[in-house]
Amino acid sequence: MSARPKLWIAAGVASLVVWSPRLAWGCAVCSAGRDDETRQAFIVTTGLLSFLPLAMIAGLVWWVRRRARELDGPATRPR
Amino acid sequence: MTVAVKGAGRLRVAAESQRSQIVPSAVMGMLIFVITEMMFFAGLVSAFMIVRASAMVWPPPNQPRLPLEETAVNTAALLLSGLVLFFARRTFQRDRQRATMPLMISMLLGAFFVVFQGFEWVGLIREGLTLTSSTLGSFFYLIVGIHALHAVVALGVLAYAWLRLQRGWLTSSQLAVAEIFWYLVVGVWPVLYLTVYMA
Repeated sequence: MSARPKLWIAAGVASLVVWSPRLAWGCAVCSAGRDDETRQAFIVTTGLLSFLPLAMIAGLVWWVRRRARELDGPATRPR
Repeated sequence: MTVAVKGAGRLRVAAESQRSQIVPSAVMGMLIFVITEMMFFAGLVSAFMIVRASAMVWPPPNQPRLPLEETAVNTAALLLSGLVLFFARRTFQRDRQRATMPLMISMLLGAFFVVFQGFEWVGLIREGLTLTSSTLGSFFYLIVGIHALHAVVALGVLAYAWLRLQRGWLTSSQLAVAEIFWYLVVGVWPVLYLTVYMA
């Protein structure tokens, strides 16, 4: 398959993903999200629950890496 | 020096030299526990935010208002407790025995927070805010109650650390475990205050 049809398929799938939930109200609680305040709450909480664990795990990994470097000391670091 | 040891068909390398732990196991365990607890609180806060936003009227009618000013004083006491614990750690690194007093002050401030919360609950129940009176009551007692439960357990851990410090048995990683747990209690509270009380 050449590059152009692939691009069209990708664009079609992307637009389906973006627009379908708005048409379908696929989620049982999305019917409550017709007013702006509820929709805003859904967006904020989705962001919170998605990014908070990632941020915490990333923070832990960063801290452990820093500790490891501190323990290694300057002698064992690559120059 | 490293020695290669053959066992069960696998080559294992045993380090004979002194191994230094990057992070003590107890501290790592507590950090992972704190991460899961933070997700637990995030879930509760998210549910509360969605219920509040979906409600036609908020706060629910015929329900008492949450005591903002009194809880602000309580919040200050809890934050101060976290700050004093931070100084206790710094003192511990210089002179272990001198850390007894700041650790005790931190515990007392934490205990003040829990007792004050208890009085606040009694007042609210008398005014008609109960677990079943409204969604505000349900979420309030659930979220603040779970935080209070954490505070009580963390106070127990701090008290245990204080006893070990008195006897000269407290290690740096044991203090770190108690600290991390208390910082969870202190750090989560302002978020709860802003979302539940000031909603």
